[in-house]
Amino acid sequence: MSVLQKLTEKSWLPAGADMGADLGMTAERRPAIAATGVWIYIGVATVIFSLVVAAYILRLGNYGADPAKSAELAAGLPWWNLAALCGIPPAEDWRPLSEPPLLWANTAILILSSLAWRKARAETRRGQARELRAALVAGGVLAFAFLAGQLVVWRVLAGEGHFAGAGPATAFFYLITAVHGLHLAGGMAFWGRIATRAFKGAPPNELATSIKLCAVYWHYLLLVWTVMFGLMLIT
Amino acid sequence: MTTYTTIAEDTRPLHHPKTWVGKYVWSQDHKVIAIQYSLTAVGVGLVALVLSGLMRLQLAFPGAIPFITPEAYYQFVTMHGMIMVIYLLTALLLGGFGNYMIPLMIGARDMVFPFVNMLSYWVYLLSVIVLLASFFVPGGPTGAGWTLYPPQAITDGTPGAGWGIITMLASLAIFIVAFTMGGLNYATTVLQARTKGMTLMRMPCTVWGIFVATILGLLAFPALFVAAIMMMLDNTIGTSFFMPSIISMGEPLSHSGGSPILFQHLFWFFGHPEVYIVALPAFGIVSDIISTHSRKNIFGYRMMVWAIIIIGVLSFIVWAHHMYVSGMNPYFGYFFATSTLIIAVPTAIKVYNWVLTLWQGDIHLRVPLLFAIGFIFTFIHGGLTGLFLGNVSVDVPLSDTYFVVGHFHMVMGVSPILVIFGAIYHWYPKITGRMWNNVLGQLHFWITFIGVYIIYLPMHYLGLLGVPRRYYEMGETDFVPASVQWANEIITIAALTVGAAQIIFFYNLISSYFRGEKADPNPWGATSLEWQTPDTPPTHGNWGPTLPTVHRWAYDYSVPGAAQDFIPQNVPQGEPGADGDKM
Repeated sequence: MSVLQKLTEKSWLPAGADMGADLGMTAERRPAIAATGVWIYIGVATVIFSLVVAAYILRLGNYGADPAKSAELAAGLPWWNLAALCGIPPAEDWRPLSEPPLLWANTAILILSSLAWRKARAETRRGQARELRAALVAGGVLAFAFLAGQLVVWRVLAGEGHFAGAGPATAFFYLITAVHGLHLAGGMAFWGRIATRAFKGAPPNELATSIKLCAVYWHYLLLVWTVMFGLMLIT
Repeated sequence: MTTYTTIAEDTRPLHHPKTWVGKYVWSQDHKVIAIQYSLTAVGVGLVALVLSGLMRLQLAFPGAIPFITPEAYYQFVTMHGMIMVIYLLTALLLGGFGNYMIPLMIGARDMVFPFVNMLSYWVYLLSVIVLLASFFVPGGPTGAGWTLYPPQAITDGTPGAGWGIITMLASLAIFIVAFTMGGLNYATTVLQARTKGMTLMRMPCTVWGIFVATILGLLAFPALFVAAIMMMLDNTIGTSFFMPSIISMGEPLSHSGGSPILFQHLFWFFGHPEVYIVALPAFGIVSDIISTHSRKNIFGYRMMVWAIIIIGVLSFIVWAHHMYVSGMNPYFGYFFATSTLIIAVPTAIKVYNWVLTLWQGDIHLRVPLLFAIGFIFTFIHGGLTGLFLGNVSVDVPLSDTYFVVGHFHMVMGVSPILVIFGAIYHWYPKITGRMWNNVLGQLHFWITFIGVYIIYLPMHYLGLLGVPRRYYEMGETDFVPASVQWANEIITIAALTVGAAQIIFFYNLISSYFRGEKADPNPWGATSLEWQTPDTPPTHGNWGPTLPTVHRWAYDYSVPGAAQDFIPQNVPQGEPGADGDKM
C-alpha cells in the first residue's frame, strides 16, 4: 500500500480488521523497527550537517561589504573554488585553510573502516563467525584510528597558530570535525555492543540486523565526511 | 482471519521490574516516564509562572519590590519565555502526553525502545537542573531575551553574559539530546508498533498531532542545537560565527566578520516550527475531546489529518516572519508574508471543523469540553492577530510592542495550556482511576478563562498605543496616555488571580487522587483504545494477555441504530448491536 493510499483511506467506512494489515510489535518485526529508528536518526543528522553547510556558505560569502575589494579577492581564486564557481566573492576575512595532508590519510582510514563493515555484513550472510569477528575488530580499530587522526590534525593546526579564533574557515573546520567525530563516537558505542555479543559467541545471523544498520550508519558518516572535506577543499 | 504471533501471546515479562525503585524511578514503562516528564515540566513551569508574576508586579507598581532591578527583570523575561516554551510546553505535550498516549492509543505494549525512552527522561531532567543552576551561578541567569540574539547575549553589559548564557546554551543542547531520544521513540512507535487493524487513518487525531509534532521537532531542534554550539564557541574560545566587529564599553572586541543575522535564521528555523510542535499536539487532543464530549464523529477526519500534515510542512518555510525588522532583503518579506498567510488556510479548516463537530452534537458541557471550547476562542483570537503580524507593513509598527506579547501569549501560551488542562481532566480518570471534583473543575475553568482575557486582551490595545515590550519601566514617554498605567495594574491583578487560581487545580488533582470517587474505566463513553484497557489505571504492558485488534476508526459516535452512542475501536464490524443501518 502506498503512502498516498494509506493517507486517503476512508476509515469511517466498514472494513475488516485485515485492512491495511499493520501488524503489532512482533518479534519478527524487530529488524524493521530498529531500521526505522536508524533512518529517522539519519534524517536528524542530515539536518544538522545541512545547516552547518548552509551556515558555512553564508559565512563564506561577502554580503554588503566593499564590492571593489571583493571583486579583487574573487579574481585571485582558482576556477574550482566554490566562491568562483558560484560567483559569490568571499568575505574579506575569509582565509582559506591549508588542509594538512594527514586529512587525506584520515579519509582513507575512514573508507577502510566502512569497507570493514561491508565485509562484516557479508560475513553475517555467509555465517562465518571468525571472519565476522575479524571484520568487526578491523572496523572498530580503524574508526578509532580515524578519530585519533582527527585529534592529531587539531594539534597540528593549533601548533601552527590556527586555533578557532584564527578566522572563519578554521573555526568551521573545528566545528565540522567535532560534530562529525561525535557522531562517529556515538556509533562506536553500538560497535562496542555488537563486538561484545560477537565475542561472547552470538551466531552471525543473530547479529545480522545490528551489523547491517551499523554499516549503513558508517557509510552515511563516510558520505558526510566526503561532502564536508570536499567543501573545505574547494573554499 | 490470519493467525499471527505477537509479543501479545508471549506471556513472559518484557522487562518487568521487581523493586520499587525499578518500578517508579528507573522505570522503562512509558506511563511512568510520562508522569515523570509531566511532573518535572509542571514543576519547572511553576518557576516560570512565579517569574511572570514578579514581572507583572514590576510593570504595575514600578520599583515597589526592591530586588526587581532592571537586570533581574530581563533575567525573569528570558527565563520565563525559555522555560514556558521549551521546558514546560514541549516537554509536557510530547514527553508527557506523547509518552502516555501513543502506545495506549495505537494498541502497543510500550514504546519500541524503552531503554532509550528512560534515558530521554533522565537527560531531560539533567537539562532542567543545568537550567535552574543558572539562577545560582555568578552573574545570575542570562537576560538576553528568550531569543538569545547575539551579539548582545554574550557581550558584557547584558545580565548573565558570563556563566548565565553558558549554562543556558548547555541546557538547551542537553534538552535537544533528550528530545531526540524521545522523538525517535514516538515516531518509530507510531510507524512500526500499531496493533493489528490500526491503519494510519484509524489513529485518533491526538496521535496524529503528536506524531507530526515529533517529526517537526526532530527536524527543527537541530537548528537550535547548531546555533547553541556555535554561540558557545563564540563565547568561550573566541570564534566569530555570529559576532561581528564590535566595540563594547569603548574597547574593540577580538571578534570580526560574524553574522548576527545567521543566528536569527538558525534560531527561527527552529523557533517557528516550535510554535507548531506545541500547537499540533494541542490540535489533536482538542479534536478528540470535542468529538468525545459532543458524541459526534470529528467533522472531516481526513481533512483534519491532512491539515496537520500540511501545517507541519508549511511551518518550515515561514520562519523569517519573525525577522521583518531585522534588516533582511525586502523581497524575502514578500515570500515569507505569503507563506505565512497560506498557513492560515489549513489552520482555519481545523477551526471550522471543530465548530462543525460541535454543531448539532449531543453536547455534554463537562470540564474537558469547557477547556476545549475555551481553546477555540483563544486560538481564534491569537490566530487573527497573527494575520496582522504576518504582513510586513503592519508588523513593522507593531513589532516590539505589547501587541506581539498579547498575540503570542494568546496563540501559543494560553491556547495550548487550556488544552493541557482539558486533556488532564479528560484522561485523569484513566491515569489515576479516580474522578476529580466537578465544582472545583468548573471554578478553575471560569477563573482561568475569563482571567486570561483580562490579562491579554488589553495588551493588544497597549500595543496599538505603542507601548514597547521588554521595557523595565516606561520612563518619560509622552505618547503613552496615563491610562496605560491603570491597564497595567488591572492586568497584574488579573495575572496574580489566575496564577493563584491554579491552586484550585492542583488541590483538585491531589485530593482526588487520594479521596476521589472511583472512576469508571470509560467514564466518557469514548471509542479510542486507551479507554478499553483491561485495567484502570493501565498496568505494565497495557493490554493483559492479548493485544486489542482494531476494526474501525476512532470516531464511531452516535452511529444510527447502534445499541450505544459509541462503538469502541476494538469492537468487530457487524457484531450484534454494534452497527445499525451503517452495514
